[in-house]
Formats: sequence, structure tokens, C-alpha cells
Amino acid sequence: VNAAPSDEEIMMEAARGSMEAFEEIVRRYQARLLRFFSAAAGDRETARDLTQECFLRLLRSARRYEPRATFRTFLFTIARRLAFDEKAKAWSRREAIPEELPSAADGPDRETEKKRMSAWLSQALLALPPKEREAIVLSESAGLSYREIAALVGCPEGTVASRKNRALRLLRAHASREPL
Amino acid sequence: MTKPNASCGRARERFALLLDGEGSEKEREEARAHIAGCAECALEWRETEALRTAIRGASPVPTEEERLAVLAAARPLLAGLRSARDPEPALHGLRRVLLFSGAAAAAVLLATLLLHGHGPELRSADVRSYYEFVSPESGSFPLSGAHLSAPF
Repeated sequence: VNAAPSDEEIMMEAARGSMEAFEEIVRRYQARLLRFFSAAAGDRETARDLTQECFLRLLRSARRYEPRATFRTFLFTIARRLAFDEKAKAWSRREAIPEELPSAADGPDRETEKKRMSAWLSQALLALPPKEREAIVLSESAGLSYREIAALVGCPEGTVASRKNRALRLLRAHASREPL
Repeated sequence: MTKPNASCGRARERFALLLDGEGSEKEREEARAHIAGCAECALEWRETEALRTAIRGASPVPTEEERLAVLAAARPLLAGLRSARDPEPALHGLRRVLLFSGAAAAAVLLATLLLHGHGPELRSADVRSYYEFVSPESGSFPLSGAHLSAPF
């Protein structure tokens, strides 16, 4: 049985200019990056632009990539830097104005419900302290392990667990004040 | 409902580990055992799981249009990466041709020596310097016929 090529192998191919390899990277990571940037920026449009820019920066730095670092750490180091570049507008803006919550009058269909939940989540995440927000976003939205987050953020794995736990507690409290 | 105690606190501190399958099996097993026997922590745990499900359900999904936009924007950069890589095989090809030319010239030299004997005018130092000249190890290759005649 042929195992699927690892992210690192695919990245090495993409660094040689392979469109096929790059398409595979996009297939594997576009959703995660979009979720990451949506949580960081608070709105879908900015998240879409940052996701695209992140892929382009990945290619611009592709020649420096060495498979000693896991691909995900490499990719999310770029993503995190991009998010910090947007910091004034997005990542750390506690006073951000997220997308407006759709009201019940907008109808009960699935798409509206998803939009409502998405807007609720944006508000709830923006209400978290930055470190807790980053821990839960990197874990839930980007799908990184605690070890990967620890390497990315520069803290022990236990601290990642504590921050995520605190984020979950605060989100539960937010949900009890403003139900989903 | 009973009042949360220290062991409730320890179990709740491990909710994230339980959700993510992180930490040690022992830590997770202790938390699971506590939740099984504590109604209040069981309720909090169910709320935490529901919250996680809601977070995942609320996450945006990229559209086909967004996927194609990324691929289109990446095309020139990928072309740049390919063209940065391509000169090298071309260089290797040139080296192969030059190496072959050198080897052919050496063969002609040897054949000439064998056919015409080994006159006193040919000194061993000349032959050695020729081989050093065409040897791949020397890193230098004959570029024209003029170089080939140099040792003579």
C-alpha cells in the first residue's frame, strides 16, 4: 500500500515549481488557513485575502524550506506573522466590530444558521485574551498539536493546554451570557 | 449537585487534554473516571464537547472560486521556481558534451601514439599534463580544438 506523500515531501516538490504539488498543499491547508485567519481577523473577506497571501508567501520562501522543520510549523509561522502584520486591524483588536449577527427574521435555513454561528464565534473569540485566543485558534481552527503550537508560540506544551482550557471555560461563559 | 472540590478542579483542567487526546493516558483516564462519578463535571464536560462541535460547525469552508484564485495567483511564482531550477540540468548536459569531447580526443591521441609509435619527441610530462587538462577532477575541460593540441 502506497502511503500518501507527507506534507514535507509535497512541499519539496512545490519548491521545485510543481503545480500539482502546490494544488495538493492548497487542498490540505486552505480550509485550515481560512479558519485561522477568520478567527484572527474576524471577517471572511480579510481571511480570504490573508489566506491567499499566505500561500504566496509560502512559495516566495519555498527555496529556504528544509524538511528539518515540519511543514505545518513552517506554514503557520508564515500565517502567524501575517496575522501579526494585520495586528492593528485584526488579531489583537479587542474592540473589533465583527460581522453583524443575522437575526431570526433572516430565516431558519442552514446557511443562515451557519452564518449566525460563525458571527457568534467571531465575537466570542475576539472577547478572549490574546494568548488564550491564539491557543484555541491554533488548536481548533488550524488543527495543530500542542507540541506544534508550543514550538510556534515558544512556550511549554503544558502552557498550551492551560491556555486552551481557559479559552474553553471563557467561551462557555460567553455562551451562557449570549447563547449560540 | 455537589460543590466542586479539588478533584473537580483537576478534572476540569484536563478537559482540553481529553478533547484533543493530548497529555498522558493516565491524565486522561483520571479525568474520565472523575467525570463518570461527578454529575456537575459531567454536565460541564458535555457543554465543552458541544461547544467544540459548535466551533467546528461554525468554521468557514473555502469556495471553489477561492481555491482557483489561489492557484491563479501562484502560477507566476511556480513558473519562477521552475525556471530557477532549469538552468542546472542544461549545464549538466553541456558538461556531458564537453566530457565526451575530451574522452574522444584522448582516444584519438592514444590511437595516434599506437599507430605512429612513440617518438622521442613525446615526453611523459606532456601526456600527464594533457590528462590533467581533460580530467573531470581537474574541473577544467577543453573548449576547442586549440586546447587539445596544447600538450604537443
